[in-house]
Amino acid sequence: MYWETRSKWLRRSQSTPPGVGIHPPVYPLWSPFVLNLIQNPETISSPKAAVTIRQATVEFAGGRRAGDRVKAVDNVDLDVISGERLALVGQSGCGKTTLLRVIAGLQQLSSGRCEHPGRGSTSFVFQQPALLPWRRVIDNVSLPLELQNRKHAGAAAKDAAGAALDEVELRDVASRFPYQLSGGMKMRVSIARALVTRPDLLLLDEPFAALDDLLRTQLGGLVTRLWRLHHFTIVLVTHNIAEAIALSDRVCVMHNGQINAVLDNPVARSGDETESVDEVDVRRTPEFAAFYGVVSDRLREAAGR
Amino acid sequence: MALLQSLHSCRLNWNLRPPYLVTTEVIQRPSSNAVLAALAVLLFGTIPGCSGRTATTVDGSSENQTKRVSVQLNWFPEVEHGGVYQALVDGTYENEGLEVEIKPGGSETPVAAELLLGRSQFAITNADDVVLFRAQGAEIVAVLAAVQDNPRCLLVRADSGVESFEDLSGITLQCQPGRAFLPFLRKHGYLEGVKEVPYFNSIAGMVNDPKMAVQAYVVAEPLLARQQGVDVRTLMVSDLGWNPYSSVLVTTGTLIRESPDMVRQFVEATRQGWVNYLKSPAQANEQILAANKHGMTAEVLQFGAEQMRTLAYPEETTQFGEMTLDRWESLVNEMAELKVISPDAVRAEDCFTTDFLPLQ
Amino acid sequence: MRSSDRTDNDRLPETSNKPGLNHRGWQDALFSTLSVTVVAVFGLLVWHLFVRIFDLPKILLPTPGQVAAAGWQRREELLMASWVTFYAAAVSLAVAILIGGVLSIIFSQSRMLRRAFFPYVIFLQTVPIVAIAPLLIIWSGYEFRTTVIAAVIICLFPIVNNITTGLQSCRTEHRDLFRLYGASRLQTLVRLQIPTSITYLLLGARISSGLAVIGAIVAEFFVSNGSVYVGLGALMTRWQGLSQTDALIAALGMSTLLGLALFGLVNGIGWLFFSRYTRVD
Repeated sequence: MYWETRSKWLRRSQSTPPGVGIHPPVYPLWSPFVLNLIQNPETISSPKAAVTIRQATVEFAGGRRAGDRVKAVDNVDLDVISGERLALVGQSGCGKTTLLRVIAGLQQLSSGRCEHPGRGSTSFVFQQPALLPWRRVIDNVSLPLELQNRKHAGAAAKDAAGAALDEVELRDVASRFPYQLSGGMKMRVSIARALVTRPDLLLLDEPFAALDDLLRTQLGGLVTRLWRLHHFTIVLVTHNIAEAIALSDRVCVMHNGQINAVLDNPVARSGDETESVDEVDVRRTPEFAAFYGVVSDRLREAAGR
Repeated sequence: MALLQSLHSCRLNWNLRPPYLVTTEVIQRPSSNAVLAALAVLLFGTIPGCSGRTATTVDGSSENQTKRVSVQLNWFPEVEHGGVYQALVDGTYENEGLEVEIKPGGSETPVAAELLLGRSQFAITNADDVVLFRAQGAEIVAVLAAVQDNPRCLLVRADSGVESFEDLSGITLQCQPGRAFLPFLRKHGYLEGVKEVPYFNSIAGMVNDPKMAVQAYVVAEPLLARQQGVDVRTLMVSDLGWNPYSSVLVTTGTLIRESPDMVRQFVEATRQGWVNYLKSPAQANEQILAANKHGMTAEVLQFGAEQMRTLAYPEETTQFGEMTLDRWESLVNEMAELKVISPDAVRAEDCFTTDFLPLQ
Repeated sequence: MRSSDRTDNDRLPETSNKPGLNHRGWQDALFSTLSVTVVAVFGLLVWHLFVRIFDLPKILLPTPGQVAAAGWQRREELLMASWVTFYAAAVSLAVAILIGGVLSIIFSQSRMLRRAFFPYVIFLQTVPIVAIAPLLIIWSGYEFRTTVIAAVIICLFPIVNNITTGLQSCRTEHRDLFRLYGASRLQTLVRLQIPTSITYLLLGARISSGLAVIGAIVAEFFVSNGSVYVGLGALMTRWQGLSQTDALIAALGMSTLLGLALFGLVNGIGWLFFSRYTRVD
């Protein structure tokens, strides 16, 4: 069952035209087509977009006086291209998590629209592992399948969950309870749970913020490996610039609910994309340092305005 | 509900006290060991054994001084307390130099504690209670037995098919647990097949249920039931041989030793009150009716007072209030047999004294 | 949902109301046992001396020894009655959990229903059980059933209140997870809300275990009497009637032990069968 699903899914992703090389199956980011799309999103509705956001605004009650409205997301246009890794960076309160929740469908828009032209499934990795403490690891991982396929969960769901655990190398803890795992293991289980539905779009909400640096880079490497394997689209929210650079193709700088800049990530292209790249090595490259400066300048600029 | 009523009776009781009588109280407190004394005060409101609120010390010179005394009743005011009310309303107590406060009781009146802690100097209760109290180490002494024949009965409906104690099986009996007549009935097998349930101080349960019986005093409830349209039959427990004195005036051994004159005055006044009451109860009944808000009526009190006469003077020769060692002994023995007291816990001759009654 | 990125403050407290199992060292356990014992011995000694110094008659205040003797003398009666009352309290607690669970689930499904009916559940808490017991006898008779009804009334509120709170207390991430994968209401209830609420249910049941014993005994004052159905409440009224203060205090001690026993039973069941639900992940 799992392998069937998987091969079907692979076939579908291979048939998406036209890619440069084998990986990734997307338009090169520097192509005029894509640049045009980014700069004038309303002119072309790209069939390659995984997510299309137009004039999206999210308002909350809040502010100093009763009846005041706060715009968490303010008239945002954004396209997430199928297969790319997009990082949303910004200070706390800039609206990046709200935007991610809009993409996930967990947050209603006050106005505007957010579409998923690909109509594939979406998974979400929370900042906390958010495992159900009363379920064993394997049952936590199979939960999304249980919720989606109301009829036939059971053995097939267990198989798929086992395979997903294999991918995060945690098969051997399948029958443990979450409290018996370390923080990093819990996070990997949480990633396995996101993978089990074979998502086209993986949303990560500061997933490694609570972990130590070493674990953070290890898990970053894991996400990169999985992305290379499965070619899903990633939207990553983080306030950590280094992480954003290491795990993205584009970096989107947000401030006050608005998109301040969308920057192509030169570092991502510097490595050999067919092989797994150690994030720590990437961080030593001069391109990394240069781009780090660019992103942090934009952030400071936005905040200073 | 019960709380409301007791509050109510407190208020009435307050009104009973003539406001023009103001006396001083002597409260004796041990000077030593102040901490323990304070503890005792906290726990009991007074120092046990020191009878904090006894009457002013009685000696010859204070003959004309008013002595303040309170009497605890064992039940809501009814005809079985008639003598006390009579002595109060006709001024007999006052003439003896006593300012008397009557404390109405209820279903759980702690008579022994009232006396031992000196909150009351006298009480009206039943002879079997005296035995129970003494078995628990409380030195309570009977000084006058107003009612010779125990008015305790079971009330059954006329349509219940119960003619005698032998027919009780299948009946639901409302009764106060811990009344000694119940083990007596049980011992003789009369309560087999009888469902015993708590008693709520009224005969209301009988109105709708022909199979309901209630514990009662023959002096009140039969008429109360008839007034509510329920035809009833009474089964006298005394017919079976259970016949403790009733409406017994009691006090503590301590008070008898410390203030025998005051006890004598009070017993004499109360005896006089009873004799007068049994002749003409109207005045006292008015007072009782005012103090009892538990469905009592003037007719029932009138009826009860008449019944009391035969219970107080079962024989032509009966001296009012008399007590005999024979009857106390048979009571103590019976209660030991019923296992409500341990054998040898109580000596019959300690339970009572006739010292304060007029010589025959 | 909040207006901005959720920070740590937005997460629900995970540790509140979750008394988990402390695995203390044996020294710690020994120490607490010792200190409790010392307090008990000291208390009994003060009690004994108090009675002796003031030479109190047994009817006012018996010594601890007299109480123990009175209890021992009546041990058979006392144990039988305690079992009757314990059984009534345990049944009441179980019924209250059942009714409370169903009520809470209904409340969790509709804010309207919750708004409309929850105040009446609070009303249950304010019902004076002593006042309602005679009414229950009119409606339900002198039955074991009446005792159970009275005890259920008294212990229902903490249970409903806790389960209702528990059903609403799922972590935001968990709720999001269920929404993300399109979980149905039933799925959310069965797979998320009910498991989350079990910790709260156990907390409510712990509070109610004491109340159930109180409710049962108070109801027995009114219901149970004589030979047919003798609970601790009936023994207490009987011994009060017989002025047997020592036995009365022994029964009182027994009723306290009953409360502890039921509390222990609830804890034991929670530990045996529901420990996975009381863990923090």
